[in-house]
Amino acid sequence: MSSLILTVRESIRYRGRSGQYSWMAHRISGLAILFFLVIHVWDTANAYFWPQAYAWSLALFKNPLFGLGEVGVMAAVLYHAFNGIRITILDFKPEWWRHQRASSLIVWGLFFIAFIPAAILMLGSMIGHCQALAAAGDNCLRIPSFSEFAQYAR
Amino acid sequence: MAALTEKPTGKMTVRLVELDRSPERIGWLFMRLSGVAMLILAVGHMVIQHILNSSTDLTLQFVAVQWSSWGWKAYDIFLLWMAIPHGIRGLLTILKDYIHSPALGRIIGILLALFVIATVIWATIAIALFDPAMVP
Amino acid sequence: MQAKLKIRRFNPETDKKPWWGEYTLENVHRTDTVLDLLHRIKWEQDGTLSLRRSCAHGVCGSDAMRINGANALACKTLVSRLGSGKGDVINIQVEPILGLSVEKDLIVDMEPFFDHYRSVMPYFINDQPVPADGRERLQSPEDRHRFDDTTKCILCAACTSSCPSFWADDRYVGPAAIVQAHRFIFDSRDEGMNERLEVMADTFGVWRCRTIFNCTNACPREIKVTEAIADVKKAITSGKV
Repeated sequence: MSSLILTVRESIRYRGRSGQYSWMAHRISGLAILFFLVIHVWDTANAYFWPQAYAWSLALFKNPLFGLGEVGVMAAVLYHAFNGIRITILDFKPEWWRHQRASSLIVWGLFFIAFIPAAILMLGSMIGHCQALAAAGDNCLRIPSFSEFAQYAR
Repeated sequence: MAALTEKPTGKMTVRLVELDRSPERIGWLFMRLSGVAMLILAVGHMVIQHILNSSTDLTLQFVAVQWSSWGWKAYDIFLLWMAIPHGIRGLLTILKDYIHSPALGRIIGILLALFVIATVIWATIAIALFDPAMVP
Repeated sequence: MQAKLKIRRFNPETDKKPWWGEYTLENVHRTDTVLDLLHRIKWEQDGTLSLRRSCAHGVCGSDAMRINGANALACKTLVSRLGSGKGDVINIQVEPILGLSVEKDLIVDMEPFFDHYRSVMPYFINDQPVPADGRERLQSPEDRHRFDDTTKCILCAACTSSCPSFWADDRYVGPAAIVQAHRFIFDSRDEGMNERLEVMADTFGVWRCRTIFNCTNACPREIKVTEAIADVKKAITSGKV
């Protein structure tokens, strides 16, 4: 009964309500953030240990594909943070768990209020960046080459 | 094993219990405390890097300007010490849900703990020793 | 009206794997319960359909099952509440509860559930001498109110079997056991809270609860299960009961 596939399948099939969806979104957003975070921390440490690689990666991350990923990370961070605070507050005052459904919906609401403007700003600046590069005869989908950052080598 | 005292306060009886400090309980508290800290630090970091600035302006020069102040270095180091353990503990929670062999669970716990220590130390050294003067 | 039921069948003596049995009932009333329909199928169409039931009125907790995807007592689920059907036809899907192995059709092995129940010492513990006048140990209304909600548990297993943490690892003691522990931990007359809280603070105790809330939604007695579990977590972290 404890097999992973069965559990995941039944978690999706069981007709849970807002609490179950909040839990799923919290898990998925947490894993997404962690995956990004580990890469981010090890990459940023290169600022000291391998500056050429770091400068190259910063240029690479301006690619719109990574830009979309960043919007995804923003969504994951905002949802995970707001829902996490909801859980912390309700755990602190157990009798407030009777307001579970309302609190879940408030979190979704706050999430959209924060995320939609953020996404618009981020996508807007991505598009602006691509247009600026196109105007200069370059292409924002181009993968930069490592040697372009030789001046940062230690 | 544990102590018990009676302390009636008002109309409802409240009693004190003393329990051994289990690692689960410390982990449970840490997730919430670090989570609250990161509400400010992590969301703040995202807002600063992606909203107040644009990620298209993010260059090594930008980082050098930020990390020329010990305030920003301390902010990032503290965020690192909150985020990596919080995230890896979350991963461990999910893995422990599905991995039932105690031996395998212990091995994974140790490997993840080593990963946390290595990551946190590596990145802390990087931030602390980073010298903006190195950047052309 | 007409009801079309899809019931998850499994006979270990003849079946290799479970299968869906489909049954149609005429002359179904909106005030019929799912248990009424299951009885009609068993008595009129297929006598081999196996299920547990007793009081048929929501107090014995025998007939917990997954009805249209969510846990409920069959005897408490009215057809009128299962509005999944067009016009005069209601579609109902019935399956056994999750997390406990299926013995036959809708009957599951409840022993692991009862083992967890027993592990929290669900009986009154007080070694102090009885009151001198030979009467009850007194308790104020406020003290009585604290654990009132968790006295209602009928051990139907709807909560525990709706919990994804329990599905993932059935060593988790489960919401029902925590509710039963809560009933005694927060009873001012009981003195066993240390022992019970040790069980609760264990790896497979309350810390497995991810506040998914399926338990509270499934409880036919409307016990605030998640709140009770949060009470226990708070007792462990604050040291106050």
